[in-house]
Amino acid sequence: MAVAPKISVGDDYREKYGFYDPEKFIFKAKKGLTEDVVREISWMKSEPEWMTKFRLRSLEIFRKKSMPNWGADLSHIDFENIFYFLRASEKQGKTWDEVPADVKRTFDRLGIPEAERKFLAGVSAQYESEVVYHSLHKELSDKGVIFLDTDSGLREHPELFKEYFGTVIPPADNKFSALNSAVWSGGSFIYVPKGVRVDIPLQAYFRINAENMGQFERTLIICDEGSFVHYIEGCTAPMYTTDSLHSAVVEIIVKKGARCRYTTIQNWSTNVYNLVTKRAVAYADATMEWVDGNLGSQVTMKYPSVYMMEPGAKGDVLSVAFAGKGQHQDAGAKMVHVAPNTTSTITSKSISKAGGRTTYRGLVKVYPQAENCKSFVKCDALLLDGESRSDTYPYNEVEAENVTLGHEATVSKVSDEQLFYLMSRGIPLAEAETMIVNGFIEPFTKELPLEYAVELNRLIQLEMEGSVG
Amino acid sequence: MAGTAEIPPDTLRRVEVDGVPVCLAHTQDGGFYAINDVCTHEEYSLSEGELWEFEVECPQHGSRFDVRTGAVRFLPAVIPAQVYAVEVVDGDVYVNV
Amino acid sequence: MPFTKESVEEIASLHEEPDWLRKRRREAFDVYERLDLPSKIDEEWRRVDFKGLKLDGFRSFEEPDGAAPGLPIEGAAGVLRQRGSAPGKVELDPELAAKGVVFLPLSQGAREHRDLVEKRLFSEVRADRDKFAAVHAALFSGGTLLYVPDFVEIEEPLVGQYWSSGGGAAVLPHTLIVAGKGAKFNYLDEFLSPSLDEPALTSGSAEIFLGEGAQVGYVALQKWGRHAYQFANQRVHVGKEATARLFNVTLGSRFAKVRVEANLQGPGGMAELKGIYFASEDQFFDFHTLQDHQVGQTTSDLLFKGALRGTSRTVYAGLIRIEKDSARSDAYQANRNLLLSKQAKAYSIPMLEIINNDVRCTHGATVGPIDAEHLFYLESRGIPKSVAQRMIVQGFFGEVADRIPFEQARRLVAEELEARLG
Repeated sequence: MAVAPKISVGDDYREKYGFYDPEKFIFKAKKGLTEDVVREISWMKSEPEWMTKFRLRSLEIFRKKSMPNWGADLSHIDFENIFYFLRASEKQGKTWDEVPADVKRTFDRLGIPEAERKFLAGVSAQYESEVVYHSLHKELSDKGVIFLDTDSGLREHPELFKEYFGTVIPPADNKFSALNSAVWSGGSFIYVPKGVRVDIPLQAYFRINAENMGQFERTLIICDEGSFVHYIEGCTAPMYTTDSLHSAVVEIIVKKGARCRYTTIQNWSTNVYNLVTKRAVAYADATMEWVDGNLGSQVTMKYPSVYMMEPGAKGDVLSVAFAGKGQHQDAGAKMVHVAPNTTSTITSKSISKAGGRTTYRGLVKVYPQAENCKSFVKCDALLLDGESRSDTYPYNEVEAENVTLGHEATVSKVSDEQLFYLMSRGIPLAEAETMIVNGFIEPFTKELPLEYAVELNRLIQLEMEGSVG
Repeated sequence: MAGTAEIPPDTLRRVEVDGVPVCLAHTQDGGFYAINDVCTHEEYSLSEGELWEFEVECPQHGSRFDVRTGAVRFLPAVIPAQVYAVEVVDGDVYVNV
Repeated sequence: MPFTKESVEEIASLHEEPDWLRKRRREAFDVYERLDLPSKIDEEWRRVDFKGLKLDGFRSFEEPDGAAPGLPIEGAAGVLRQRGSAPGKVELDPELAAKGVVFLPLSQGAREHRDLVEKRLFSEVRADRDKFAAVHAALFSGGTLLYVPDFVEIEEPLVGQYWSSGGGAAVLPHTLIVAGKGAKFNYLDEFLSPSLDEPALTSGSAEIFLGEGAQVGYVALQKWGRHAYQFANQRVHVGKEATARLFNVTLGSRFAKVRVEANLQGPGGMAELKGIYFASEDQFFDFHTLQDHQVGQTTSDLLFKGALRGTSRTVYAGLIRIEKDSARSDAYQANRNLLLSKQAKAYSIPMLEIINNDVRCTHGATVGPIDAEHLFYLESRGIPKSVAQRMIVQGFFGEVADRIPFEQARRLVAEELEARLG
C-alpha cells in the first residue's frame, strides 16, 4: 500500500481531506456517513470492486432500516456526528494528557504496565507483544492456521474470504450490521484447517494493528472439520476511546466435529454505545461456546447466537454483565435449534449497582424438524442497591416434538445470611460484599485464562468500591 | 402463469398458483425457476427482494435461497424454501405446484 | 356488517342504561374507531395468529335463542344467567340480600348503584388498551355487578353463566366484583356456547376490587364454541392485606387472547394467579399475565399449565414488575407446557422487570413431552399406554388444579378435563 492509486478528485481534495502526502498515506476523514466516505474507506484500503459495491449497498440498506423498537434507549445516537474511519496515524495523535483521570486511576489500581496503558488508552497504536506475536505467527502458519486482521484476510485470501463473508450475518440482518458492513475496518480473520487444534488462545491484541480495537470491527472465523480454536477479544482493563459508537459484526462457522470458543471481555469507557451482532453456525457434532463479559460502555446491546444446523451440534453461552451508574447492559443470547438432537445452555449472571440497569434478553427457538432437542437457560441477577434495575425477557419458542426446554431465573439482593456469616468472621462489609459478588460470577471467571480472571476480580473490587467511572 | 416476455432477465415476479404465492425468477442464463414466495424466516415476500445470479435475497433480513434447489445460502433463514417445477411452452411459463 | 354508533345506542336502550353509561359507551366507541388493529411489530401481538378474523363481520348483538344449559354447580348462593345480549336473570339467597349483598345485571347495577359502578367500571380494564378492549367497552352485552359489603362472608359460591347460541354476533359480557373490607366469598364465571359455523366475537372480561383484608376466589371457565374469537381482560385490584385467588380455565374457542393481571396496591396484599389451558385441533391461545407490585410487602404467585394436542399453538407471556419503592415484595411465576403432538407449538416468555433490590423473584418455564421414564414405569405395571398417558396428563394438571379456590369448581374442572382426555 505504498502508493495511492490515481483517482479523479475535486480540486479541493487536499483541503477537504487533508490528503497531502501519498507516501505517508495520512488521511483525514470527515464526520458523517455519506457514499463518499464509504468509497474513500474502500479506496484507502485498495479493496476489490465487489467489496466497494458491498459497502455501498450496505449503506443503502442502513438508511432504509429502522432503529430497533425494543431494547435500550438509542435515541441519543447522532450518526452524523461520528468519524467512520480514522487512520492509525490519527489515533496516535492523541496524548496521554487527554486521557481522563478516572481511566488513568483505574490503570494504576489494576497495575497495568506502562506500554499497555497507552495502547489501551488509544494513545499508542503499538503494543509491546510484537515479538510474541511474530513467534506465534510462525508456529500457526506452519500448521496452516490463518490469523490476520480482516483487511489483510481479504487481501491475502480473497477466495476463502468471499465464500463466507456476510453469509452468517448479511448486511440487511439489522440496522447495525448494515452500518458495520458499510464502514467496517479491522477485526480478525481466522481459518483453522481440518483437524488442527490451536492450543493457546488467540488474542486480538497480539496482532500489531492500530485498527484491531476499532469502532467497526469485522471478525470472521472459520473452524474446519474437527479443529479447535479459542479466540479472545478485548481485555479487562478499561478501553478508553473518544468514539461514541462501537458496532462490530462477528461471524463464525464451526464445521463438523469442530469446537470454537469465543471469549469477550468488553470494558469500553462509559461514553460508548456498544451495539454488536455476533452469530455462529454449528454443523454436525460441532460445539460453539460464547463466553461474554460486559463491564463497560454506556449502553450495550449484544446477543451472541448459535444456529445449530445439523444433528449433534451444541451451543453454549456463558455471560456476565455489570451495570454501574448510568449504564444499561442489554445482553443475552440466542439459541436456534434447526436440527434434531442438538443441545444448548445459556447461563447469565448480572449485577446492577448505583442506578445501573441490566437486561437479559434471550431467545431459544426450536424449529419443527428439530426433534429431541434440549435447552436449558439459567439467569441470575444481583441488585446491589435500591436504585438499580434488572429485567429478564426470555423468549422460548418450541415447535418440535420431544423437546425439553427449561428456563429459570432469580433476582435478589446480596443475602443477609452470607453477609452476616462473613462479617462475623471479621471481614468488613465492603469486602464481604465484594467476595459475594466475586463468588456470584465465579462460574464465568473460572472459564477465563488466569491473567484475565485475576484482573476481572480486581476490577470488580474497584467497581464495588465505586472508584471506577 | 406468465409470458416469458413479461419477466425480463435477472428479475423476479410474484404469481399465485392455486392460491400458493410463488416467486418466479428469470436468471441471467435465460432459465426460469419457481420458489415459494414466503421467506421461511419471517414471512416477507421474496419477489420484492433481489436476484443475485441463482440466489434470491429476502428484502427484509438478507436471507438468500438458491432458486434452483431452495437451499439456504445466507442466514438468518435456516429452513430451505420449497421449489416448483417450471415449464416454458411457446413463450409461456407454467409452474407445477 | 361493521359495528356502528347506532348499535351502541340500541344496546344501551335495550338494557335501559343511565345516561352516564350510555355516554361512556359512546366514548369507548370513539376509541374503537380511532384505534388500528394491533400490528405484528408490537411485541405483544407478534406471535398472534388471527386465523382470518374480520372485525367488521359481526352483528353487534345476539337475540337469545335455543335451550339454555343447566347450571355448572349445585347449591350456589346466587346465580345470574344471561343468554345472548338480553339482560340477565338473577336469583340470590334472600339472607344475603338482607345483609346488603348486591347481585344484579350490570346495567341494572349501574342504574341503582351508580356510586359503586361509575368510578370502577372500565377503570382497571381500560377501553383504550387496544381495539378489542374498546369494542368490548362500547358494546358489552351485559354482565354482572356483585357487591359484598364489609365483613360479609358467603359460604357457597356465586355463579355467573353466559350462554350464547347464535353464530355471527358479538357477545361481550363484563363482570364487576366489589369486595368490601374483610369480605370473603368465591365466584365462578362460566362462558359457553355450542360450536357453530359462523364465527363469533366473544369476551369475558372481569374487574375485581378487593378492599382491605378481603379474600376472594374467582374462577373463569371458558367453554365458548370453536367458532369463537375471544378477547378478554381479567384484572384484580388488591388492597391492603387482601388476598385474591384468580383461576383461569381456557378450553373452548377457536382463538383466545386473554390477559390476567393483578394490580397490587396495598401492603400485605397477595395475588394468586393460576391457570389451566388445554388446546387441541387448530386452537390458538395467547395469555399475557401481569403481576404488578405497585407497593411494597406484596406477594404474587403465578402458575399456568397447559397441554397441547393436534396442531394447536399457545403463547404464554408473563411479566413480574416490581416498582422502585416496592421493597420486601415476593413474586413467583411459572409456566409449564406439555406437548402431546408432533405439530403443536408452545411459546413461553416469562419476564421480569425489577427496580427494587429488597425482593425475592423467581420464575421458570418449561416445554416438554410426556416424560418417557414416567410412561415406561406405568406401562411396566401393566397399564395400557393410552391410560398411562391420560394419568400423566391428569397428574400434570393436578398440581395446579388443587389450587382452584373452592371445591365445586375443582370438581367441575376435573370433569371437564376428564371429558377431554377420555
